[in-house]
Amino acid sequence: MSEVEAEAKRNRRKLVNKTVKAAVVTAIYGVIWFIIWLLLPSFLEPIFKQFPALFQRFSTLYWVLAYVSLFFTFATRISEGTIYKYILIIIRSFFIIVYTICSTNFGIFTINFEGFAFTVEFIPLLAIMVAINLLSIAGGLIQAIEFAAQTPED
Amino acid sequence: MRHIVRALRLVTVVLWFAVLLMPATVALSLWQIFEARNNVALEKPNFSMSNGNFSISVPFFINNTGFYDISELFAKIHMYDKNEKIAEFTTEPLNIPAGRMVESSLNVSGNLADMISKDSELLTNSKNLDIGVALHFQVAYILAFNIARNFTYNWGAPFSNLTVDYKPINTTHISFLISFYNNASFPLSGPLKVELFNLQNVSIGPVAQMAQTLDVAPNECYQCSFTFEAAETGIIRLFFADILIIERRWGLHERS
Repeated sequence: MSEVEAEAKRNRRKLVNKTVKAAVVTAIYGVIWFIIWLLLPSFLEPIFKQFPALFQRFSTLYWVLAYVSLFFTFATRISEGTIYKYILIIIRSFFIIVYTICSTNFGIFTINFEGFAFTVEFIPLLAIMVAINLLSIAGGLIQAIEFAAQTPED
Repeated sequence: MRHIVRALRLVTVVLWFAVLLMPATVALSLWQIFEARNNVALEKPNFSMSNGNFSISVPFFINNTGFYDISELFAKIHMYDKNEKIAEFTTEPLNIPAGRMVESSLNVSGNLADMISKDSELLTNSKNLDIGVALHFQVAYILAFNIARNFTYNWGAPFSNLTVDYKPINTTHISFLISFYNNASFPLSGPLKVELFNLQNVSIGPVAQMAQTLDVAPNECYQCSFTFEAAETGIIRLFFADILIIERRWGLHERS
């Protein structure tokens, strides 16, 4: 067996190991998301009973967040040790910004109940959430720069 | 670099924690206020009207037993007639600091002439108006709440069943019997002016003007006779606080 073939075999094994580890971590996160999903209705049941449409919307938003979060967990784990990990962190923060803005209807949430329209405006809070994700993006960028500046010896 | 990244991560975690905790504590704060039924009370609204200006006052008291200040507490009222906005009123914003009990009232006032300029039938015709009431307040200066409701309000015309009966006394004097029913929910007080014009629409003069101060309680009738020295034909105009209520022609070929 040539050295090149041995190297390729080692790399394949590394990749398989990484993939298995990423899959296990993602599965654990998946179970956590699922347990939260099972526990949430017991806390929010009175609200959902009153507003069945709200439950539909909440369910969709919850699973979108869960699936995307699981995808990024898997992707960042598998890209460990590469610059793609940081790019994925930045993309994830961008996604959370867009997700929070869209899911909260730009910080204005309205429900109609027995002839009353209840509106909650949390635009300042949404602005803080966006700022937090911008900080995460900044963190990702710094990490990416640091990673790119590293020499093989580091 | 590593320290910066670590600091950023710490700040991010702390901020996420604070942001997620905020709505929960606000909800808890509101729960503390509304849990006890005697923390908030609204009293019967008072209506009043004077010189063409009306005011509605809703006394209330609130005991802010929550953790956060309640700010920008105000009510907004919209009045519509067949999707056409007649009036919009906003009360003065109030602040209720945490741990304080505030006794105040939500006051709106307006000018009847402004409303009449949008819908001239309001003075004489009772009708159903669409009212939108919204209560707005902020908790912890960061979360704003708005509770709105639309309903139909049976507007009672203050000059309901208004009649102007012309009666000649002799060749030089005429008399008008003016009557109406105050169907409004507020007392009607202010000057009622009767003015006569000739057919060329020119005021007949000081002798053809009479004024009386009205004070008619809700669901009460008003009746009064006005005698003038005037010709057999002309135009009579009725004003309430300088708002034209009705214009009628009297004498030969009487026409409204």
